[in-house]
Amino acid sequence: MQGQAEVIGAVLLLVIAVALWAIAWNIFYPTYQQVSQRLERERLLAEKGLREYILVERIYLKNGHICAWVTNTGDVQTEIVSLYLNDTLAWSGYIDLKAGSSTEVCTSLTTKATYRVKACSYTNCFEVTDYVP
Amino acid sequence: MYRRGQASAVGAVFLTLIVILLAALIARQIQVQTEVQNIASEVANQRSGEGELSLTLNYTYLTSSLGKINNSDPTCIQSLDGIMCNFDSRLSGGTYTLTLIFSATNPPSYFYNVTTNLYLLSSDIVQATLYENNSGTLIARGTYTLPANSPIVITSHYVNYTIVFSSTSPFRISIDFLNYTFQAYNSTGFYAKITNIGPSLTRLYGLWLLSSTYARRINTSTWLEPGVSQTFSVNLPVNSISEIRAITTTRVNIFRISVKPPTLTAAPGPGGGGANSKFVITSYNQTIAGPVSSKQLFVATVQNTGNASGTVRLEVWNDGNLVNSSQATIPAGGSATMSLYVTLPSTPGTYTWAVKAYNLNTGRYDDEKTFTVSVYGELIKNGDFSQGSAYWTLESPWRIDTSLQLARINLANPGNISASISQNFTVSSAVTLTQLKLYYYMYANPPGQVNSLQLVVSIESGSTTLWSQTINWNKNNNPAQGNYAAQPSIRLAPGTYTLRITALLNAQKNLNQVDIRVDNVSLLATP
Repeated sequence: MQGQAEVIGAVLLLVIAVALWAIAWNIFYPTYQQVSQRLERERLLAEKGLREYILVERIYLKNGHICAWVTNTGDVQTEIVSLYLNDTLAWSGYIDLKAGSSTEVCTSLTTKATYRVKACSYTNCFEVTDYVP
Repeated sequence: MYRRGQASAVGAVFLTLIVILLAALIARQIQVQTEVQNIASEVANQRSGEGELSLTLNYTYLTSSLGKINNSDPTCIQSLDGIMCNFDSRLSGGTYTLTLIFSATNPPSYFYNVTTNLYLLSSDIVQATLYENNSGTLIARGTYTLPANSPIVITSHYVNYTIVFSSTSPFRISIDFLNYTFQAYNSTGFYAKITNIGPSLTRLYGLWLLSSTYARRINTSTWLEPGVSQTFSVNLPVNSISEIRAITTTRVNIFRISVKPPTLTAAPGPGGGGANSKFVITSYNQTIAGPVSSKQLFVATVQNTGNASGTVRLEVWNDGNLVNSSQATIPAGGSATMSLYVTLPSTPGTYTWAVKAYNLNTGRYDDEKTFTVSVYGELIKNGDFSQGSAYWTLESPWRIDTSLQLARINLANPGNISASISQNFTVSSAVTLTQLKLYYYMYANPPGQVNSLQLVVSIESGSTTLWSQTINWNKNNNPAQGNYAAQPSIRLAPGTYTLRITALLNAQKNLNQVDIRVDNVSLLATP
């Protein structure tokens, strides 16, 4: 009898331990997953920030408005969300830009001049100085 | 006892779990940081090593044309085949003479130079004089003694020319072949060769062809190893393009170009093969740059590749106007380095000048090369402060030191300073700023009482700073002085701009003296 009780006690302890493990896992694992996913997102964002490069190749007048020819010369897909001329917001929006591809961004400005042109994605801004001929 | 055991087991389970998950997260965090650092380092290496590019244009091509003699049937002189055209001399005034007029059957519309080879045989020893036929005027360019019954080649550089043969006895001239090779201007297109002259791999994304009214982008995606080139075929005349931009990952490489098509049509080209001395310009300044009306030294090396000593006059030409010349006598096979001062034009711009080697023995130009002259305009007035504060705006405590003729801050027991001298300048047509220069002097006593002392040089458009750089003083270099030079390389649209030089002093309370000086301010621009 005494031997049976010890066996039952041991089995019970095992069952309790496993149950506690399961409960604890259900409590902590989602938190672990959230933190882990956040780390991955931050890594992806950091990598995008490092690998992207937006180059304003030239600015020019088109139909009386200043436009910029912009190329994604980085290694990753990026987006253009704003364009500044002499630190003034000249355009904002959203243009997806695959690596190596170019796009034209036209503003409402019309004055021929030398400008500091800043093209921004969600993560970085890239600046050049150029002249509208 | 049993409960205590249970509690311990549960505690151990939780603790173990938390430790495992935390360890996993920390390991992941370290891994992420390492990956990000590796990417940062890889990208930085790739971009910082991006190479410089050079541009070479090829807008000429070689084309051949058959020749004709006295407008006769050219079939007998179409190739070097031993089939001859024969011309006999005639007696005139006691001398046997023969005059042959040579021209090309199909010259290109425009060309830079021409080489013509005449393969002939004389039946006797004959004297020959070659005349350039310049719009009906004959100009003697060379004399030859033709051996009897031995084929020779007469090389010259004229499309239309005349040879007068003469002898005291009758003779026959047999001509086997007359051909012309033209370096012609390609009016339909050109080749642009982009070469990576930097030390690292560079990616080329595209090429812009620009003029005031035209823009076209040639797309590409090419990795250029150091020293490697990519050639683009462009179906536009090169003289219609004023700027080419080569796009790399982080740079827009801008090349300003100005190519003039040749003016030679059927008119003769320079030089000609001589029997005596012959001069070749082997090296010369490819570019000369300086402010308007300034004197610059031009250096060229001329080699005498002929078989006799001769005298050469090296001439520098600006679009039909002789700028300066220098003369030297060079033995056969020798060479001479010749220097001469040239005065740059009074208008800023980029010019193409020519340097010519004129052979005084033969009376012909043996060689001609072109080079680029960049003339910068000075945008700053009274940069040496010789007129006091004229044209300048001085914020206190800047003042003009009339004895030293410079702008100066010289204060005892100074506090913090933030004050500038500035000058507005107007640009009437678009220019590129090429060089900014000034002399500076910064002194503080005792130097340990200065937190920072700087001169900030900036170019502004209204309230926008287009460009700026800082000259820093440090206490180990006191006084700090020197000639500061920078290449702003920014293009300015017509308008008014400001050059500002700001003195910034952050001083501690026991600073006894500060002395800041600025002089010889110059800002050069080219169209």
